[in-house]
Amino acid sequence: MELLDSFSIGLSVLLGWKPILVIVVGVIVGILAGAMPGLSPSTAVALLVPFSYTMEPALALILLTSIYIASNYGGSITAVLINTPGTPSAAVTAMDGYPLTQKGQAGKALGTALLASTVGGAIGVMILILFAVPLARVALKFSPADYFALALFGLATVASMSRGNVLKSMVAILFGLMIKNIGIDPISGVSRFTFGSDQLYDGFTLIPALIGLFAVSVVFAKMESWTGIPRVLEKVDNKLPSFKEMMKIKMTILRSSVIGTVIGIFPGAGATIAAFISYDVSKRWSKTPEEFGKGSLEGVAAAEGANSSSVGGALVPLLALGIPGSATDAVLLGAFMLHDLVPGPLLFKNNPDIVYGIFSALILANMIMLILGVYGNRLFIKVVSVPEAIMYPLILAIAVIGSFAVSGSMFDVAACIGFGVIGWLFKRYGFPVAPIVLGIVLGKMVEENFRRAVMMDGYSVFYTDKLAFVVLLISFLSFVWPLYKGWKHHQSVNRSKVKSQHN
Amino acid sequence: MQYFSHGTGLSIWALFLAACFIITGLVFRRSSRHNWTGQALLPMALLLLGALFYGVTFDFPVEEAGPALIPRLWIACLSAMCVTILFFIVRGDADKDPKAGRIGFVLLGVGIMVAYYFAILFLGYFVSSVIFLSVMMYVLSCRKPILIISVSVGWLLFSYVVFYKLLYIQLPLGIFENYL
Amino acid sequence: MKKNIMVLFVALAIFAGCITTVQAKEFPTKPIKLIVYTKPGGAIDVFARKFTAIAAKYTDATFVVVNKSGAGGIVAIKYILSQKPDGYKFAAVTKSNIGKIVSTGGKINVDDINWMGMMMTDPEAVITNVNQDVVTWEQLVADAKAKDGKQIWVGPAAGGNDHIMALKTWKAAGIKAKWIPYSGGGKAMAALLGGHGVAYVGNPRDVIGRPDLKVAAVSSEKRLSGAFADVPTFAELGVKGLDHEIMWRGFMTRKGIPAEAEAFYSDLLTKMTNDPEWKEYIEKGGATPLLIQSDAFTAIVKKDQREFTTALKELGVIK
Repeated sequence: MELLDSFSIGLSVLLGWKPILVIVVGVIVGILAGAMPGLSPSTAVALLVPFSYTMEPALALILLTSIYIASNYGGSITAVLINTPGTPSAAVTAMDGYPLTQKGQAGKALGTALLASTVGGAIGVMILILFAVPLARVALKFSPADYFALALFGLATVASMSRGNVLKSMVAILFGLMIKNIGIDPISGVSRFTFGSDQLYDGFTLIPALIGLFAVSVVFAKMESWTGIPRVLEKVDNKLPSFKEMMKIKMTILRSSVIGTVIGIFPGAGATIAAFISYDVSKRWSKTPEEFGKGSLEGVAAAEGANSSSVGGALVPLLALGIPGSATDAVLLGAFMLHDLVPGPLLFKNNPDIVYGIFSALILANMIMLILGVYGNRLFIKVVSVPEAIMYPLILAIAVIGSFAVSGSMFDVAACIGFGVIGWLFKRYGFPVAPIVLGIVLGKMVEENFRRAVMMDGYSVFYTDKLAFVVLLISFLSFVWPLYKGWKHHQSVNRSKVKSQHN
Repeated sequence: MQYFSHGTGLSIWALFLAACFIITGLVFRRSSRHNWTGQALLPMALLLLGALFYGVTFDFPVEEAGPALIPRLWIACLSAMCVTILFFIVRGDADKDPKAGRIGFVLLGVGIMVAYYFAILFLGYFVSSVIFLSVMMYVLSCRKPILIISVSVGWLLFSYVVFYKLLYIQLPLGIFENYL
Repeated sequence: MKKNIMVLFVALAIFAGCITTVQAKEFPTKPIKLIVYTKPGGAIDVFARKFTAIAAKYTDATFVVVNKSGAGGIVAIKYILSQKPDGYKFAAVTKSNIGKIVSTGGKINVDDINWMGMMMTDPEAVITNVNQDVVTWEQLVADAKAKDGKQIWVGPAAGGNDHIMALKTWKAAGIKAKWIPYSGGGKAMAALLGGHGVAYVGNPRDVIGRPDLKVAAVSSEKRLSGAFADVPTFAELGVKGLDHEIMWRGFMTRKGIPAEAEAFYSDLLTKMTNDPEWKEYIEKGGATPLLIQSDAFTAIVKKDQREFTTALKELGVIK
């Protein structure tokens, strides 16, 4: 029972008021930072690294990982309440969370997000604790061709995001992919489409684009239909989901948690892709897929279960091998190094107190998050009743400071405003904006791995590598299937029209 | 093609594409499809942006699976989609433009945001944020001075304590650089 | 009597005032900003924070580490060059910044920069995976010859320090191989661990804490000490001309800072170089603590700039 022994060491780290306080503070900071557009998990953790430098190593890392896990839930709060995803992965949560708020069911949406995040987070951590090393080894075996196939599968989820016009969703995703090409090409080192500007050297950062597309654009859209008459306050229901409703989504939460953890393990994938894929899969399995996008609790659960569980997954390569799997992992790696620790197999041997301290803290952080969330939600929900004339200026102010906070650059602020206008125009003409985010998130992964695969083994690798071939086939089918279904539906509508004309 | 990938050639190419955009707009406005002008101009803009980027790709070094490959692939797919959408519009088998709301009001909002951006560079973050919030609340017809002041000053304090002091984010101070 | 005392006090106050104005020539009188070109948690960020923590032993000056990330350091360097030359802002830099200055079209003139001091050199190393058949340098060369140009080396982005090191190594050893770039050292190491390549180019510290990785050869005149004592140098392996391929880290500011600031930094950097805690931090990663100042440092920077220009032109990254 080596594991139990290690855990008793880990739990002993948590004894006393200090570690508990650190976790509580970490969870609160994580939820609030996550809710603040611009402070994504990686930015929030990065900003707290200097702060944690003076703490004991174990406490510092417990603080940072607690923030990491809680921020993924925090992102859903603003996504649900004001359609402004606080973290990139919450863009998926907003697709069903905000419609629920509009129906006056914000409490249900937040409750579902909290439940799914807690269960997802816990499952992710369990899998991390039990199978970290073997899983990390399997993930390493994936070749660039496999990664390319996986990324393409991620792109295929665009199909489940389109309401109505599939063509418009495709345009949106391709626009995202195209602008992701701006900046230095990581494979050849050439700078592309920068038009001689240093500012474009790193391309457009995801966060300012996300805030612009989601938050700023909403304000512009509201201004277009502005009447000047204060909105009549609709009744805001802060009721949590009922037990029956919870039971109905339990399978969705479990499935999403497993998907999230698995995707999280692959270096470079991360929470956002996990949320998109889980949403897509849940929609396909759902008995009521037509409700997705209109306020489905399953949709919220699918997104939140996946993005929170991906944290446990992303920590697998970091702790087991010392390889950062996500942007936040890279920051955590730096935090380890600041305290003269190197994550990896030797850390388990030399500093079990730290490794198992983190494990125990993550489980505890999930429980604390559940408790704080239940009370916090009653508070957060009041945001909905803030008058629009105060809310929208504040959203814009948050958008500006959030974009600036990512890397301290005014260029990002300008980009955020620009994307705000683009987002407003896209929505105005019925083009969805979530696929743009998907394109920006996946663009690099698709391109780099495709080119790496070709450089290593030539174009034939995509059918000689069996795993890649199968996944590519599945993604191809998921592109084609909705098109086929749409075409058939179109035909049957036409036929019934013809019939009714005959009658 | 190489000529249009950089320098003067690229500028000529960009001007040509901008002209195409304006002509498309004018043609649609006068045609029987004037109710689809916006619906057509958005994909048209993306199509032309793709064309601009396509021109630039000829500047990249040529190699197997080189830097030009994937951008060209995306541009090709994007163009195909945009052309299909335009085709449906011309055939009249597409959604019409939404009824225009208060476009002027939106432009005012965009203008205030742009002014805010430049104000931050000049006056620094804190001063311009107070001004921005007050102006924006006034524009959105909030007429309670106490509320306006308390929200703007509240945000000022919040951003100063949390972002500037706690998180060490070096918010621009503009001309006040040496006083804080 | 009272009046006299008053006069005395006033005189004293004026005198004290004179002293303080004389003392105002001292440096520093306010917090100093150390600019870092990555986000918190990056390798250079850790370097800068360690520096400020240990520097507290030798000076009462307050250091604030400020992260200005973007364009591989160009943003940070341009920021320093845009500030007043009062000595209150300096930046941590590495050799890879020189590569970025070259690849972004040389808009930054290295002569505008005061290269304050190079604080450490990290030897370049070829690293292999102990779980594969190719572990030692000899096996690597034999495998490369057998695969005839199809051997795969992994590492960070093309045109960077490590890529150029790989190209030099192949030339010196008379072998051919393919360079498959990843968007960072960590991901490239994951590829080596997963068996998608046989060699990785980086620094000895990359294998610390990763028992599956092993340094096959290191570019150093003498063998390294400590954990790397059994690692052969290129010269020992019969590969010529790779005795001093390094990655360095140091500090820069803009030219024209006051003489007292210059003296303060020079004194501080010298004390730091001899500090046992600093030495231990640097040496633990297989690197060498040292101090090369102003002219000698500038000469190294210019040599690096020439080398990057030649290499990047050959690779087609710049014209």
